[in-house]
Amino acid sequence: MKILSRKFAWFAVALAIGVGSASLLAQGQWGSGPIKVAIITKGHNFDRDGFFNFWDSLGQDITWTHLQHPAALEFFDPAIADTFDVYAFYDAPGRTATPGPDGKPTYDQPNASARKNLIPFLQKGKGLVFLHHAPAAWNHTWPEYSEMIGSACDWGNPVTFKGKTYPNSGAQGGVKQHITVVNKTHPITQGIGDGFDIVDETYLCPVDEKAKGLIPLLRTDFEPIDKNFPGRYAGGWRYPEKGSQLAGWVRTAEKSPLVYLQNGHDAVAWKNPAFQTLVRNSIKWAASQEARDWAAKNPTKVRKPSNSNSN
Amino acid sequence: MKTTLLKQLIVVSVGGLLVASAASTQLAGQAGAAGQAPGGAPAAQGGRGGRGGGGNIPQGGRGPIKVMVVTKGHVYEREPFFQMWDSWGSDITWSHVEHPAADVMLSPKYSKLFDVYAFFDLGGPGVGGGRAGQPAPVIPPGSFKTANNRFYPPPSEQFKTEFPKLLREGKGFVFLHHASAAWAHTWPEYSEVVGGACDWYAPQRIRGIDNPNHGYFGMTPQFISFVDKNHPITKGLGDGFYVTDEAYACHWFEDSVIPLARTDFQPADPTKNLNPKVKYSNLAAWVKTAENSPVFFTQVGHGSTAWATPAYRQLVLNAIKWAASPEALAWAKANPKRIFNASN
Repeated sequence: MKILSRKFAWFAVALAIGVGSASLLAQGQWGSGPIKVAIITKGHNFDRDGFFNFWDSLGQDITWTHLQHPAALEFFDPAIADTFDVYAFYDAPGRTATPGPDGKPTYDQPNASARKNLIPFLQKGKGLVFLHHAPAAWNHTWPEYSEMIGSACDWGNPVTFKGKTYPNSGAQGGVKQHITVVNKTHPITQGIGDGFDIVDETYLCPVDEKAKGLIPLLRTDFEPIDKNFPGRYAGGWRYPEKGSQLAGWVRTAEKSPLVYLQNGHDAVAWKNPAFQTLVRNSIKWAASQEARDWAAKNPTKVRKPSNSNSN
Repeated sequence: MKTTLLKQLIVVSVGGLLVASAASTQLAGQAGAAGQAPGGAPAAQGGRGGRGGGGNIPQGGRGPIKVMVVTKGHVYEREPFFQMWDSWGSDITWSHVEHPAADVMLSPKYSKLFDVYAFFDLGGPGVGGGRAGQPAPVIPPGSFKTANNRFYPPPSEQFKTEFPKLLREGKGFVFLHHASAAWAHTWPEYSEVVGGACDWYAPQRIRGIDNPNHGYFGMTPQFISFVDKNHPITKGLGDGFYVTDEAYACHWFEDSVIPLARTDFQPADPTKNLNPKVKYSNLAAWVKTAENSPVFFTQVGHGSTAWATPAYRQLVLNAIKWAASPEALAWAKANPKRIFNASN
């Protein structure tokens, strides 16, 4: 009775004052759908209410659990990995540069157990969905992790990717873009037609477009060159290469199906119907037997680049 | 019930406006950040898209005490709750871990990750029998069925096995408000860890005594009196504090806890919510031990009104610091309370 009356109260208030967040809360927190999703954050501030309201809006399909570092990486242990069907990453840990004894910057390390468990975890065939800033996770201390995603970012420090060093990454908020669907037959792109407009933060980060087995899904019309990041450019930041316009892909990591969507910085993106469809489709696809079978038949080795200097 | 609903509408209206206000502030903050060089400064480990604890402290804090914050099973105002935790960010680094992941983490295997476990959850929440025209609810397997047809899932076997071991290891435990209702039907030892039990949705048997649905009284103005002013948790906080918060009529185990604070709230008719054999307890905060671990509980802290009360924030921060302290851990080891069978 208490629950029912509270739900009614939330609903009534939503009608009375027209507050979007309250109306979303009326749908219930955490969802009640069949797909069990771990939502992993830490290492990058975000609009928590907006983000969690977004996940609640997918609640007919998923039941989600917020899980932050350092606990999150423990679930790479195959013995407990089946607690969830899909792992969705919106994290960016390991970017705080602390001067080491020799004066060189040192960065937070991932849990020791996670290094040991990553490959067995990926070989289990778990659904993996990486959103927006997640390629910034562990770039300085765990090169295999960046290899797994197929991209690496850090907006405050130089990036090492596939053994090559890049300048600090670019980021530009509030950019109006058109996202074009370049693979209209994939389950993830169903329901969004040829593409969609979105106002969102965009990046200039190294992306391995030719990564083995990578299937492009989406491209942005934003041209990622340093001049198009005026905030940074005016401060003297330069980036010698043009970046990738890939805005979404799937690939395999060992035997796991993996999705990356570059969009999703804040509530403006989270409220975009096409983005909502993309994330819902991504979660459902990553959880599907179809995707797991595809990944098992098309496995990709996740290994540290041979010329990497990172430990 | 109509009166209660009206109270809740008022509570939620205020809460909703606070949430809306917080959200608009946040969006304004983000709009400002968008024009800057996002993440450009080395200190930008989270320099975008939200607020931390102030003073350039990121969300999640960066203090020395590592706290695992457990939620799920009872809805709550998320952003104001997180902001309270961020406000302690120079003392703690906190990580949000929800059920069922939390159940896995509550094991000695992972105990090096955290110093203190803080609960604002309702583990094992009941599922009602459904309403006409609504999809039939999914009844968790192995659930305990109450007299009014509610179904309560039991904790996992792994959790039941590992949690006692964690308590024996000696860690700090802080339970807030509705965390007193976790596992109340299915794991009586868990209620003994907390020091009391609640369920506002169904009758329940606690310590062999049958109770009617417990009571909750939203947005109740109360004075919380400190009855032990020398404890590290209350020292320096004066005689007490006023707060407007949800009050309870629950089954507190007066004989098993060390009282720190009491409320001046009295339910009009305690027998509506408690077996006459159970005298209404106005306990509002206590400490105790559970196996070799120090435990703190406060009944205060339903929503943003309480969380915004400075004295409440200081009380809970003090409790976290105390629970993490060598003194509290030594005290618990010297005064252990055996709750679980040794075989657990």
